[in-house]
Amino acid sequence: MRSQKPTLLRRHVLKGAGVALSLPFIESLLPKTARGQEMPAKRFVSIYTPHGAPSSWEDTTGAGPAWQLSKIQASLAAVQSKMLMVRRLANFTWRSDLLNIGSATGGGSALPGGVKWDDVFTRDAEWCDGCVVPVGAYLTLSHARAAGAYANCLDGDDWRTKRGEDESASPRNPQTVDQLIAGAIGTATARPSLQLGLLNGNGALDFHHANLCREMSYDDKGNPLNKRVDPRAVFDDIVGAAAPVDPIAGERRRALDISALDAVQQSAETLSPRLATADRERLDQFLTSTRELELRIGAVAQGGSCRQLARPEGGLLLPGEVGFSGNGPQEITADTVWQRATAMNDLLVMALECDVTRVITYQLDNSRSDLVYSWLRLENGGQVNAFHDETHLRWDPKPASPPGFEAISTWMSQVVADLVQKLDGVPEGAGTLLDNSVVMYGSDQHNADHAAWDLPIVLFGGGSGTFKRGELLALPTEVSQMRQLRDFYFTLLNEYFQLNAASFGEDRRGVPNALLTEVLA
Amino acid sequence: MGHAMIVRRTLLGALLALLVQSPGCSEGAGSPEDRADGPVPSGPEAPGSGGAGSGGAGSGGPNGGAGPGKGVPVPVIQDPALDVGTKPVHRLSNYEYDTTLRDLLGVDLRPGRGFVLEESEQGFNNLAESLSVGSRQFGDYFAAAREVAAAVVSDPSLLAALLPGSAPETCDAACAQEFVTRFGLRAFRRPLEPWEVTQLTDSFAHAVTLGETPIGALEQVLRVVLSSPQFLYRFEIDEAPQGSAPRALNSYELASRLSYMLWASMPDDELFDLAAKGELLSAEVLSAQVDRLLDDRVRSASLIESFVGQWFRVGDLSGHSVDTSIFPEWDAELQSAMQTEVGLYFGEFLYGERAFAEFLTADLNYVNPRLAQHYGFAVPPTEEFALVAETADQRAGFLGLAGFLTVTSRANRTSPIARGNTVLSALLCLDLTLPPNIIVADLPELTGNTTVRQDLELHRASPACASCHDHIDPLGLALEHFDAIGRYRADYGGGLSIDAVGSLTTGEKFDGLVSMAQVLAQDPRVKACAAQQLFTYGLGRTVGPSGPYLEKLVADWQGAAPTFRNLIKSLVRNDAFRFRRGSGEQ
Repeated sequence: MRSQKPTLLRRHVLKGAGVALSLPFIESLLPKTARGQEMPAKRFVSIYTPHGAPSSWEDTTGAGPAWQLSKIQASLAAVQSKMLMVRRLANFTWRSDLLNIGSATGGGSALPGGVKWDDVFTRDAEWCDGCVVPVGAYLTLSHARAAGAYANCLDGDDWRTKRGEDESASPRNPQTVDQLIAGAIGTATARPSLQLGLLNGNGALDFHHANLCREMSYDDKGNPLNKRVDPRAVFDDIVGAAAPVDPIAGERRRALDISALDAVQQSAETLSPRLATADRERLDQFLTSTRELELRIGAVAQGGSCRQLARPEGGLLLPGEVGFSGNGPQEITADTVWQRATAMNDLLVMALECDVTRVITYQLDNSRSDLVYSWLRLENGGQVNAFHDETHLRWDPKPASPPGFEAISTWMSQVVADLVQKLDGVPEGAGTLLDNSVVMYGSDQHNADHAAWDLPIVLFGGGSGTFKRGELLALPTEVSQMRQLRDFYFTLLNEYFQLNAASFGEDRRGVPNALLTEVLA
Repeated sequence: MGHAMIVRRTLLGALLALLVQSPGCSEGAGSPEDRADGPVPSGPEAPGSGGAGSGGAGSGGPNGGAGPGKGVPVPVIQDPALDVGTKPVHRLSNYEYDTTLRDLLGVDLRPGRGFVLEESEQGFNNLAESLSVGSRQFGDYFAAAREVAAAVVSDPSLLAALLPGSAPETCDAACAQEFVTRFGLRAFRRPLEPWEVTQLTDSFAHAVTLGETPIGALEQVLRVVLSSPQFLYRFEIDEAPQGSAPRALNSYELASRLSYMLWASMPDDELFDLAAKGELLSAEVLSAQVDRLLDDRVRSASLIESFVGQWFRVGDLSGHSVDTSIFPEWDAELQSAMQTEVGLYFGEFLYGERAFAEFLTADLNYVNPRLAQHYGFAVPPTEEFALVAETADQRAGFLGLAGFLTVTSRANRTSPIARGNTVLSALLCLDLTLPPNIIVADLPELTGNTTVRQDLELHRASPACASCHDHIDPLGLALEHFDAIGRYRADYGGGLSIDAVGSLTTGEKFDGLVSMAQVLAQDPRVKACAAQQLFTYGLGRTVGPSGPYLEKLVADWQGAAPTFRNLIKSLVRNDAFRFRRGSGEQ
């Protein structure tokens, strides 16, 4: 896989895996502003990293506009003036009847060795090397439910149970914020939203459906939107949404697609009545999927041309990864993995720049990942091992943060910095594509302590001046005063996208939704 | 913190349940039908029961009419009162999709590797219940169909194989009809119904009117077929889909059940011929076909790769990562040798006459020079894998294979819990699970001053932890003499010795791999569990209410020579394999 510099190409030859694809030459679009519209398009990109951040994430100095990044955030310095670092946002969504476990105050259950839950979460916690959770803060105990809760601020277990779904077998989650936005603005683009992933580490699934660890976007019916991790497949999807250069060939191609779909739908409709109820539902889901594809085939972006990448070649499968169509394991080096990361970043930028979509979720790894980050090295020369292990690893003597966790978090910051700088390199109106977008980078828990408090969250771009930039914002630390992630989303929905949302998510303390005015410019 | 539970996956009745002493690690919690109160299986003869289940077999209708051949009677179910079970329409797994494309079209593109991952249930990714087609999956099917069809029509030899006797570039309506009928049967795994022939020939004609060449129009037909539910799902359509009466599967349905179990792929021409003649309805013919399919070592390698690979997790070996700063000898060559050995070892039991009872104890390894060196064996003279019976070492049976010991380890250390859990679920069919919303605290990592056994003793301090870990930990700790890449070690070094003593919760004691393997080999749960694993994978569904059929499978296997091949033959003769019922809604 090579990452290529974008070039302005009107005609673009696909390089396939030995297969001559019948994809047409394409061109894509100019950003809306370039076509004379006054307001730039509104866009939301949510970049997710699992397992929280190590303690040294918090080693920033100063506050407000005069703050210094911590060491593991150093690569973000280049875009520091366009970022708002938010500290101490909470996400109190855990089911209230579980608070004897979920809250540090209520629990008294014995852990091995007679350790009490209270002790674990109120003192210098043994399993988190130095992080301390305020008394009363909620926890997010299961990695499987954490990614969904991060994006919808609801307790998925509770939701599934109330719908009569099997808590451990259901792949569904309440609708996530990106899909709420896509539902409102997605009709403007060929793809209402895209779900991307960078790494796809397999991990223990906390007795939940694997989807819940692997996906962070759920539609209005609760169905997971499966992300793509293969840059080549992402490229094909974006290109498929772009306008064909040769209208006649494009029209024939479309007619053949529709004809094929018609036949497939006819078959499903003919077979369905011969089946039992549950099987008819399966075929109905199949049919619905064909109709969704039909809409996508019909929805081709309009416009002129935008920068067009080459189709990524081959693939890179990392040990422990799943669901990847590459050519099998290749040599894993810092370079090859970085190339994959930058290729995915390039595609994300292209999707926004060509206005194929305006809503993207981007999972840097799954919410419980045992992927071995073998391309990263510790200062002592040791190899970085499975992500989740590294977050809980104990050292003797104890460092401030587990070094493997720091190494991974540092690498994630580099990936994000690369992406954000690329977004900032695309001119749009008087500024850049980044300036007119809201790019969020964060995690579903604080640290290896599983605290649903002080989530590591950074905002980039500011959304055409909607949000503050170039600041470190510290919110209250008292549990009763803590602000919620749902309040940020509520603010995003109403102040940036202007959707007049009545509320978003839940706060198990019972505190109502309120604008997070602190982040507004 | 609630009590941990064991979900018992077998239905082997109260008998085996009594063997599971699990204070606090309560059983049950499965679906209601997972209870084993069912009747004892009836004897082989159930007079008067005949006929009740024959509806649908051999009838024409939706599955294309594989009528019974001359002299092959429609099978009669032995005990219509027992539940032969049903299963949802069965989507191909991504692996089956790829192998099917290979056998159907001769392409090796394997687009299924990039599809939405299946949800594994009971360790297997081919269970009908968990396979669905969402938006992304269908989009991927449609895109793959385009790519595959283009690849086929751009390769004259592949296209010629699909159109014997016709020139593709001049293919007309008659040629298209011939193609649709012939290719359609193989793609849908049964003869096409008239409306399907019409639909596909119409697709051909429509493409021509849109300006496609005959080859382009054939490409379009390929795309339609490969995107059609009849290709993507294995339908077993009942005449009374909501009824509950058992019916015999027709010949084509049996052909697919057989080929997807043993090859993870579509039937071949001989199976289709036998299906057309109705001869697969005969249990003897089915049984003989098991031999033929297994002896096709290329295709039956799928059974090892997919079934054994998932059963013991050894399929994950190719994606396994080892910390080379600790184990510098680890490389792709060693990884590959371990994987090859696992397959060859299982092959001893699948292809040879060796009794499955020896699976855990047989003193045999397959090594090439690299693996021999790893094991400390004499290095064989050639690069070929050679069978070694090395009685002087501490290694025995499947659990002693480096591949198994490595894949159940972490990158940098052994994991007695992962090893114990794998033994428990793969060999005893005991899956430990927790009530939702329980947090499992991680124990402290080894600092080098304590042994993993000492660390795991913390599990004993809490009844909630002990209820499950009393099952898990001893099985894993018994394997501690083998490091994270499966090498024998006498001790941990640094003056820390290894204590591999333990016992099953049923009381049997062991010390280390060899004696644990002997204890397990004597445990009736192991054979019963192997039968259950094959039943689950082979039928693509959980045992559910068909427990008596699993019991019968185990009993039949005991009666035959106890090879794994005979277990497969017992399964294909089992009524749960040859019959099904509707959903039972009415």
